[in-house]
Amino acid sequence: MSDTILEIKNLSKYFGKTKVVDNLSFEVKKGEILGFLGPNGAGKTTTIKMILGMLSIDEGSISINGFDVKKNFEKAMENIGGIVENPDLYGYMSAVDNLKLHAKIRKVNYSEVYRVLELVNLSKSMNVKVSKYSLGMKQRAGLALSLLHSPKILILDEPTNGLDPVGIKDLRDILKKLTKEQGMSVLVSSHILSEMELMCDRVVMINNGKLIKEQALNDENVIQSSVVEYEIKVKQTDDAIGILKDCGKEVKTIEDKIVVVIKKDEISELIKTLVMKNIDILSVYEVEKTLENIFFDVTKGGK
Amino acid sequence: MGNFIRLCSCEFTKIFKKKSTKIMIIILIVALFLSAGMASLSKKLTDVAEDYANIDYKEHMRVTIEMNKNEIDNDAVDELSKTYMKATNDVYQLAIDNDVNIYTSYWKSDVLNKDMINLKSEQYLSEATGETSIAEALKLDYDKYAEMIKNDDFSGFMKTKRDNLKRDFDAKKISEEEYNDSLHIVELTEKYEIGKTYNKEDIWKSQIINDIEMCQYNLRYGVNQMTMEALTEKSYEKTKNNILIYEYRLEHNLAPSVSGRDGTSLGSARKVYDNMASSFGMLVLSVMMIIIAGGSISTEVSKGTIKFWSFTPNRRWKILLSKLLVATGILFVITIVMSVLSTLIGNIFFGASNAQGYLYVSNGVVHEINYVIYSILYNLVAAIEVFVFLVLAMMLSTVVRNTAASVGISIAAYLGGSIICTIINTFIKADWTKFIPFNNLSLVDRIFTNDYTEVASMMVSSVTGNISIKFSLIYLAICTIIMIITMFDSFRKRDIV
Repeated sequence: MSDTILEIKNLSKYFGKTKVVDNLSFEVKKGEILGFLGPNGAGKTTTIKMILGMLSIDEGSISINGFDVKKNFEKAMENIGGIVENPDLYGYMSAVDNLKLHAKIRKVNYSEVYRVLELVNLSKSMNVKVSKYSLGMKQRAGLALSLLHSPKILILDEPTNGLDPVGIKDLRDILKKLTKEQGMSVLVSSHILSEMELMCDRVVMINNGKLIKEQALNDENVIQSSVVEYEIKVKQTDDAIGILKDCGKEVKTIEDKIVVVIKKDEISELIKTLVMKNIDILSVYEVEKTLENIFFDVTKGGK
Repeated sequence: MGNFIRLCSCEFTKIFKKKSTKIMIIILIVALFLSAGMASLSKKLTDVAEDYANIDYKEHMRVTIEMNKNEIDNDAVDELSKTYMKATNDVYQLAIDNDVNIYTSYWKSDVLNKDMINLKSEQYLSEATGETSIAEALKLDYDKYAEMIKNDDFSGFMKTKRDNLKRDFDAKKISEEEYNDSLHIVELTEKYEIGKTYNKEDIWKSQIINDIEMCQYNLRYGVNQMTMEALTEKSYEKTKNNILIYEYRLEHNLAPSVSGRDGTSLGSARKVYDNMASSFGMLVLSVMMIIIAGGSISTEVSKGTIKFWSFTPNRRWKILLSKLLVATGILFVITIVMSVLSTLIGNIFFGASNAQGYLYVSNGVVHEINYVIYSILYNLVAAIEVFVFLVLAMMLSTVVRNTAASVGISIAAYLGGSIICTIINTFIKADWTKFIPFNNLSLVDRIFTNDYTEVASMMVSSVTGNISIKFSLIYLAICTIIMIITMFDSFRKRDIV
């Protein structure tokens, strides 16, 4: 088996005449958390519904663990779990009963039900009817449901909606734990970029149904060679600008701060130079080139 | 296959964990008890209406006598009527003197009102014209009847009836067929002592005798006396069988559930209960099944729970099929359980000995189906209709995806369809009306016809009776299959959510 769990090839979907998903191709590798980014209406949920067989595939193909969704639906769905939009369980049953139904369908032992409920920290209220749950609890119950059969890939659509910061952190920890320990892959869609940054190994950005950019995050090599903005505050601003310009750097000033754009591994050299020239450095601040910046750059560029 | 059974079992769990299902099952049980109460109540009410024993017959007859006396004094009335009234007064006076209740003793009222009044008025007429010898003979006959009345001589009356028939036959007043038929009636009346003593539980017997007479008439002339339509080969057979069943009823003392010319005379309380429990129970069950089926897809779509099912390793048609099969299974299982339960409740309230099986004729012999089996069969046939509406509700649920609409439309069709059809049928008398689906329903009334007497059963299905059961079943099957195909096609092709 190859490392690719989910493979999407030239996927297209029409709603009437409008093309909602346009020739989209990407893949999710084993043990990876892939962020699926895009503004509202970009086609994220549509793509996810196609992966989960809720919508028909107009063009292209999706294969999960080597099984084509169109041709071998039942086999493909054995390896997948997920939550789409809201985690809708049967409100008139308790979480345990809900999970037991699915355990029966997925041929999973009932002991698994208690294990996953423990995992998502829902053991205390597992016998309460789901209709009495808070949104965060429902979200966790939904997660438990999708983890029940230990899927090879987990698809989460906007999982952080309605979760408080603690809940988001818990979700992140659970996902990281599962990917590390079980080698599970996760495809998580969101439009909240800061969340993705903390959670994902890699992001795929789409807009108007088209793939715009694939970007790996937290990769040391990438980080070292990337170009970063620094804001430097010194006592002798004019002198410092002179020195930096002598070194051949591009320098801007914002109020009393000096802004330089250099590679990440050049900063220590730069600071040394300034200190040698008797400049009193008050602060050096790395303006992170965040996903948000990338995202805005890209989406604007796309237009 | 294992997967599919698992799906069905999940579907079953889902349905029975719902509050609405539990409530409907409780209502169903309550409905059965309610029918028991209503059956005894309705029986009591009709019994009061039919209880002639409490009527002051003497007062009634005195009033008639007074009225007749006034009329006799009136010059405007012709002599013939006056003679008749005089005769009536004489006969009624005799009844009052001898305490003969004409309301409770049918044979006596027959003798008084028909034979004796006629004899007396003929006697008076003969005396008026001076034919004393004829008057003497008539008086002798009259006294013979008077003697029978006084001595309560039922068999004597029967003998006289037989003699009279023989006399008429010898005088060629009646045909041999008519003679045999009438003789048979007299024999039955004598054998089962119909009308000899008043007993409100036995009123149906004289009604059955009337029905046998009518059936004989229909067979003799090949025309239905009520509708004036010629008998077909099938109705000819049916009429013959009916006579056999009527005689079986008399022999084994089995009252039909409905009898009487107006179709309102009820059978035993047990029989009333059986009908009521079945129709009441099936009504509740049908509403329950329509609610289950009408919400099966639409509720899951609107609540979003279908999403989790859509990516379980099962093809979509399997999910829908499991829902259809489970709903159908629940319908038929509850029907059977309900029938047994209804039998038990009936046994508790009305006694097990009163339970009556279904009578049918095969090869000229009357057979009786065991009561419990009959009650199950009866309800299962009724459940076929409910199944059609269950499929309708599920189809609407799949296509419209709105629970309220699919449940509402289906229940309206189930309850109102027959009413609309009755209206259509009164205005349009054409052959094509048999293609209206609702005209093909009420299968139970058309299959188990022997529970009603001939007249009453015509009241039940005057229009739909012309459509054969076979046609109805095939037509309903076609309708159902079309609905099922629509349902699966829609569910397979349309996107979820």
